[in-house]
Amino acid sequence: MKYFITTIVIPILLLISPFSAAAQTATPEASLAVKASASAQQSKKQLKQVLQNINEITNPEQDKQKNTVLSELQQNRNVAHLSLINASPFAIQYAIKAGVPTNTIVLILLLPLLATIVVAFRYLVGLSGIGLLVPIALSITLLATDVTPGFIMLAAIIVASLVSRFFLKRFPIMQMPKIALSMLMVSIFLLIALTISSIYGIVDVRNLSIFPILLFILLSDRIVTIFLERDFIETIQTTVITLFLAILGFLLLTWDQLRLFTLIYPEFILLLIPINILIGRYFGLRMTEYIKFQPVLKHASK
Amino acid sequence: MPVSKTVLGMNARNFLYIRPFNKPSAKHLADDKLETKNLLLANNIPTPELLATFYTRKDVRNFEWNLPENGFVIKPARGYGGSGIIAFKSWRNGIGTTVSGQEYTIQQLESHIFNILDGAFSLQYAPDKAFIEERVIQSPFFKKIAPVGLADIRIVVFRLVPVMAMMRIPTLQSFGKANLHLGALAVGIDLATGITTSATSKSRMIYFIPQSKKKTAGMKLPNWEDMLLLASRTQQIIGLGFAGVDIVIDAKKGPVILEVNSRPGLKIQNANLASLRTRLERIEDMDIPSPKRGVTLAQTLFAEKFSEKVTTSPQILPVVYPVFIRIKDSVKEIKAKLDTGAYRSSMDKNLAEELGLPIEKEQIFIKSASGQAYRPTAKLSFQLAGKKITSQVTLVNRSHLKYPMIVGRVDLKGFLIRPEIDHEQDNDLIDEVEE
Repeated sequence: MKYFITTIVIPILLLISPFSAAAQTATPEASLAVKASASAQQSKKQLKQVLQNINEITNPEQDKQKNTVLSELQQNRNVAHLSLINASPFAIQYAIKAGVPTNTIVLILLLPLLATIVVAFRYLVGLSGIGLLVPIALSITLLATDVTPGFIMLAAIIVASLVSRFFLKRFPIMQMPKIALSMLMVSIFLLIALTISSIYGIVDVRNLSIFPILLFILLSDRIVTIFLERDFIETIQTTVITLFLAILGFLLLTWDQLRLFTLIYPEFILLLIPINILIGRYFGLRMTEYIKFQPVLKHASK
Repeated sequence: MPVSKTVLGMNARNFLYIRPFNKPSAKHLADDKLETKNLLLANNIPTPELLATFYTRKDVRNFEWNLPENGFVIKPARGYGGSGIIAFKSWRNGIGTTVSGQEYTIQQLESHIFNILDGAFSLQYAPDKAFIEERVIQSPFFKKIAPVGLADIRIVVFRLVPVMAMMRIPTLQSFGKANLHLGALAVGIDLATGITTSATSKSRMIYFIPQSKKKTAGMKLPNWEDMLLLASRTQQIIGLGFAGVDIVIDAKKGPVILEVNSRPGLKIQNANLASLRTRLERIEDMDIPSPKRGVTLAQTLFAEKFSEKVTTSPQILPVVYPVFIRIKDSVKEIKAKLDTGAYRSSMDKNLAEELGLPIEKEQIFIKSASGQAYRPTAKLSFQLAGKKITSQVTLVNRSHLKYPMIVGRVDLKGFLIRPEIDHEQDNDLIDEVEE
């Protein structure tokens, strides 16, 4: 019973606040409709420029960009007066004013959303990748390195992991040395991939930060551990699912509308509480199980 | 109480049944085959005999390698997904031949055991223990059904009540392993009668066994009630609330427990075309006092419709039927006459000598149509239609008769004899002297 209360009460509380906020801003906008639409279009253009710099998440934004974002946010949700309803957007705008980069805020707020998506894929759809960490970390690393170099490095790591699985699976040495050897393999493959793409001018390696590259190598530890435990078909399955989740996460993180929405209505993140509780109490069949249990299900429907 | 009609999925199994009913300590015990085995042996539950255990490298070096000539099995205690298990069919002069025909020397075996100890086959590569157990010789009944590999029976037991059962038949496709992922057959079993129902392989319905062309439905498993009781007792001893118990039928020992699984798979539902969830919910809030009561309850609650028509009464056998006698390591098949006219079983004297049966000093007084006499006797245990019978047989010269053995009334408990003579069996029966 207590689960139902939490799942029903929390969304109602949450949904009231953005709606009332929207109602608040709607009235003044209506009276100044003409003026507002003109300035809105202008600021949208500016905003797009700002959001184009998204991919450089490792670099903090300039003051000018910060101000455009702030004014845009204020236009959408005025937080001049702190109240119960606008506490969270107030906090966000306060943080931006204090100098926290918007990119950082967006990423931090969206991580739980990515985690929830991975959870939903596992418990509702029935596709599980390599834990929670690997797909999320991969999508952030992809974001940090930009698309082309990111995918080249990802491909190098997956191939290196598969190759080391092939060599090490039956090799009679203990676990940790195996992982260390596979890391050597990953490093060599990465170096080769970076050199080749640098020669052909695919990637500007000079602008590439070392941290995402290191993160990639460290993630290969988890990937190889899973690879060594499973048989070949399972390995391919988990790889495909993990890549799919990582790319899905990357697309969400780079989706401008979602980023803006997160900054304007940050409380929507709290919706993840009831969603996760509901998923955590879902005891029906996962989607893939409907295929797996075809014979029983067919028989039952007769 | 309304019960859910949906199929039991992973989410429900893990959260509603494994988490509340399988304590971590019991799960840990079930995951360790060696500890499970020791506990079962201590509780007199039949399981393949333990021949050797290896905890350290020193144990391996000090081992004498005196192993049975007719085979043995090497297993890691915490092997993952059946890896690291090697079954040997023979052992001669320090060279073992595996079931699939590969040869291993002592040195190779030692290195395999070292690998096991290093954790090459356990999850997370944790250090492990190794052990050697006797090889299960498949009973003749299963040899006909499963010509490749060793068929086993999985019974899912929930708080002393067997809730669902299936037989796993290895195929060529599954490399002779009873592994459903690889394509072994899963055959559903009616809990009330032990008669097979429907079968699936890789989520598809199957009607015939690929190798033997036998129908998958309608086979009656021998010793069914014993198996249910064994499964229920095993679950009680291991302490898991929700367990999958794997049983194989040994030609000599009958049903033996192979291992216990704390996370039983859900494909058993496909084989039985029934939902585990419905059955589990039916008995979830019941407190069953003993395994025996659990088995009775299961046979009543989870009977298939057809089981009403099946008389669980005695098995009907023809007059002439093969009897299997196990002498040391070999099984000898003898054609016997099932004779309800005779009180005791009797056997040809020469045959008894050939088999090396110890003749008892005490003689038994026999009255028969041909007169009365004192006859020597011998203790003999044999298998008749899957049932193990231990008896005292009288020894007499039967060399002039067609069948070297007669099975009498005392040993025919639980069977009915069909009096007409089959076509294959000759009319020579008439020549038999009635006792």
